[in-house]
Amino acid sequence: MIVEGSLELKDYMYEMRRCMRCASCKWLDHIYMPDNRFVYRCPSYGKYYFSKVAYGRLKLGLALTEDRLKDSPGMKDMVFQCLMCGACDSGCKRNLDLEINYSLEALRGHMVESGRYPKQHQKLIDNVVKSKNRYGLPAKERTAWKPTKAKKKADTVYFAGCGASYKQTQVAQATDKILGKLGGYMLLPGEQCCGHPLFAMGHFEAFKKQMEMNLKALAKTGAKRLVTACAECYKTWKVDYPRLMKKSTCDLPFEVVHITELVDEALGKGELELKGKLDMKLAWHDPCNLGRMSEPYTHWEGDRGQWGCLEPAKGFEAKQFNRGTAGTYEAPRNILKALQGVELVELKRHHEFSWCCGGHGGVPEAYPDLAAYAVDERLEEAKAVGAEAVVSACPYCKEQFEAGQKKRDHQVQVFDITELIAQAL
Amino acid sequence: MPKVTEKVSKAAYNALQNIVGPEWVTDDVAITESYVKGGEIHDCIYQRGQQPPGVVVMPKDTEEVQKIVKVCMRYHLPYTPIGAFWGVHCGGKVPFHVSIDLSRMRSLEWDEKHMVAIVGPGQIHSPLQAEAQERGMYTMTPGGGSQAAVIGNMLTCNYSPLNYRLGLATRRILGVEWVLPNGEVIRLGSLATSDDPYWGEGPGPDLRGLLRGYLGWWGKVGIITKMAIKMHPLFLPERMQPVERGMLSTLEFPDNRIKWYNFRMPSEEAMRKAMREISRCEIGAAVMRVPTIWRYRGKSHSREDFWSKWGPDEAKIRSSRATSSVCRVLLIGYTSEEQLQYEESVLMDIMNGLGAELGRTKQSDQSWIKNADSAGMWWPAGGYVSVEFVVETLEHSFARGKTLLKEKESKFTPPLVDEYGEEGWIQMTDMGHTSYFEFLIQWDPEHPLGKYESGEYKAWEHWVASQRTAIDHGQFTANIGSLSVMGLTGPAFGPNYGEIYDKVRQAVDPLDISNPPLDLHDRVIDEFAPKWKEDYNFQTWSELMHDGKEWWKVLTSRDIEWKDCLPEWYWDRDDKEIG
Repeated sequence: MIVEGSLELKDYMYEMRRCMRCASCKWLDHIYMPDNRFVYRCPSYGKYYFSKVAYGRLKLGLALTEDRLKDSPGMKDMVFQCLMCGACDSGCKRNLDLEINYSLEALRGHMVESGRYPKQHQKLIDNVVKSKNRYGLPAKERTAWKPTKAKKKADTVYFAGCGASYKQTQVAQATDKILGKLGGYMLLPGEQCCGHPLFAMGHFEAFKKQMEMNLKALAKTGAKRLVTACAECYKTWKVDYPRLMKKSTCDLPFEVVHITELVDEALGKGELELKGKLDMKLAWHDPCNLGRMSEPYTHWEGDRGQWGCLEPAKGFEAKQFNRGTAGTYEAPRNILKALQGVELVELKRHHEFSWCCGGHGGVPEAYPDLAAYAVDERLEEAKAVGAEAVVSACPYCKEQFEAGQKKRDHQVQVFDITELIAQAL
Repeated sequence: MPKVTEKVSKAAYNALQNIVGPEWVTDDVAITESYVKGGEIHDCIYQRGQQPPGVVVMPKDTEEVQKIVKVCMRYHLPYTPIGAFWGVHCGGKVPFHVSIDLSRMRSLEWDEKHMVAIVGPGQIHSPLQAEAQERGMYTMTPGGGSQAAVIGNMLTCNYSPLNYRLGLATRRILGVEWVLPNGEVIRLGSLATSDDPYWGEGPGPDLRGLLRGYLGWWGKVGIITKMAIKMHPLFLPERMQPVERGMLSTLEFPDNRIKWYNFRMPSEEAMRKAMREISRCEIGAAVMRVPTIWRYRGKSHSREDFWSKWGPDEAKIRSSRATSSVCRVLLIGYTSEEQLQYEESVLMDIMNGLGAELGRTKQSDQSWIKNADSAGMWWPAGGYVSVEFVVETLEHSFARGKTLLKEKESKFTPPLVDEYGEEGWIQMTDMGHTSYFEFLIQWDPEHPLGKYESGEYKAWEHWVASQRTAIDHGQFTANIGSLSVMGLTGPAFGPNYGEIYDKVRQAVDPLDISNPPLDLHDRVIDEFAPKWKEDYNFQTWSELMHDGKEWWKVLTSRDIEWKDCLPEWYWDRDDKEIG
């Protein structure tokens, strides 16, 4: 029996055996291949080469599952020098429909179970588990960004997340202003980390505890909608929580919405107007967790029949594959186009082919060289398309871009989309 | 013959590390484990013989490649070069070999004036095509896919429907830089005398014949580190733009210069006449017979989707098998819109005269121009094997399809996928002077049958059987090259290939360390299915070596000093000490 989204490595034997090393996890979609400069979709491969890409990791997972390999000096790096950005998954589903993301997550979990993970991850894990935020900062400082529009009770909960609460506070302040215009909101009482870093690093048990606490807190509010301006929180609430609960996103008792979706809808209905003029050539960076990683999760159970066809178990319909194309892509683009004076340009790798900023999967903590390479590549793309500024919708992307800028001669401005929206209100 | 080293010694590892630096060499099993192919795809016997390398090394340039192969020579280490690792035959076949991964050598230089691209061995097709189009040129993407390494692919198949107009790809190889197994560099074409790669021909014997095509070496001897490839002028004033995404991504055609036509032909004879007549009239950019199953692959959006459409249509397809194949034609107005209009009128005259019915088709390209074999190719069973692919006459293609189908239907279906009587893929090449034929089989790799009934076993057997069939019917088969069961096809088709191959190899690679071994199939057959020797009436290559046949004595006499036939200036000697 196949249970969608299992966290057990042995449940991905089909994926690991059937991977034929076609390298669709490595190269950009060939139809969209722009030139000879920006050819890879996988930052890990672009930085380290060898087979540090999904096909290599699947082969390793297979050897581990078949008990042909025990350990090696480079095994941890092979598994964890990966941003878990999901670019490989959308590539594979161009050809083979193998569940690459799930396999890689399960591989991490398998390594973590036997204590084989980078020691640099420990501080981040401890911070989330003990202090309930990824920075290990006091809980009382979580709202130091001073929410001005928050109500005590509302149908909409704004989940700020650790990044916007503690570091990129301008994102939280901008979101506060936007939500104020859209009927108000309440904060999640005692908000704590969504658990995203734990999940991305393979610490599933600790993640489940975070999930349970957050779900309980939200249930107590009775709110019907959770809004976030953080792509990582968005994915966690929209995809990972239901997945671990063996539920579909659409069966959650609340709706998970990214601020860009909300603003786009309001603009479409004429409920919001963007004023002012921003004479600038902007490039939109699709955050992995807003785009390809955040398609609604559909829980599925069944079996693999003849020819490898998936056959649903009783009570389930045909499996809906998440192929990365149905993420939140157009809402932020619509918003940026609505800003007067803006010339919106596409980066070389966009939509589900988007290149990760490097701020994900425990990589900045354990492999800063990979994080720095990834963001430098993205900024190089911005330069190649002549962008004056890069805009994203995730505090961690912004943090990455700001850090990357410091080491470059060619400078572009960096914005979170909420800042531009708030400025135009 | 000296025995190759079985394990990579510390000294050899250090020597490799001294060449490329510690960052670019590894013997970590977490990485070496992944240097084998997975899944089931072409040439499954090669896959069965694969072994993970003992060491992977990633050179950055030709000089490092030279030094690496010299170290391999010094320590008797077998090595396997890897470009993009697309073809299964790329994988190493002996334990503890050195995998020379050339992915860092992804150079791409242009001589725009003479319309030549010079690529490194790690370069793949789609960036080459993107950059070519930016410069007002184009080349062709092979059926193998855009992810295939350009050099590796040019040396082996590089077949595509666009070969109809552009000619076989191997003829587009110009100057070549070639690191021999002993580490010496030779340059072919005009590169031999200057830095200009423009001419494919050069002074002295033209050695390109040793490199290219399915009768060449399939990359067996040495490593090509640079290749100049002839480009063609782009036929459109603007680049074709990608539209849609995911598995639907495609290049949209402008409606005035490039167009697909799908004709349902009333009979096989009409199909044959149409293909001949289109070539005779010298129109078209691509002409092919497309088996019905390919159309289902093309329009399916998942494996489940494919079977939900293919299965229920079985009766319909079976009943119309004589007329089900589609003749697919691509017309391009290379010079003008008027050319497209003219060619369309000629095409419609031909097809109307033959009673063909024009069907619908999407005016865009998912394959051949910028992508290939990545759209639906694997849906039916997750993989496939070509049991025959050959360039011959059009008549041969049709005849070969029939014999292969007969064999498959009578003995191998099931467990192989039933394609309801389809006789393979045929496309015209060289403006109709030749024809490319390919016969694929597919099976369910997870099929729960015993060893001798499994899809994998039957796929291998069909691959051997297809060679026997060719011999029995007097048909030419591509499987006389290094991909073949040499003991079966070698004696039947004459010893020349093996003789030439072995003598040259002995001259340049006396240790047989470059991409070994030749006798893989013998080992696999001995281990896996010795009964095939009786069933299909052949001796293995290694058995033939010892049976006293006169030609084999010649082959093994090792008395040709091939290198001495060439003047000294032909060789770029590099005897520098390493590391």
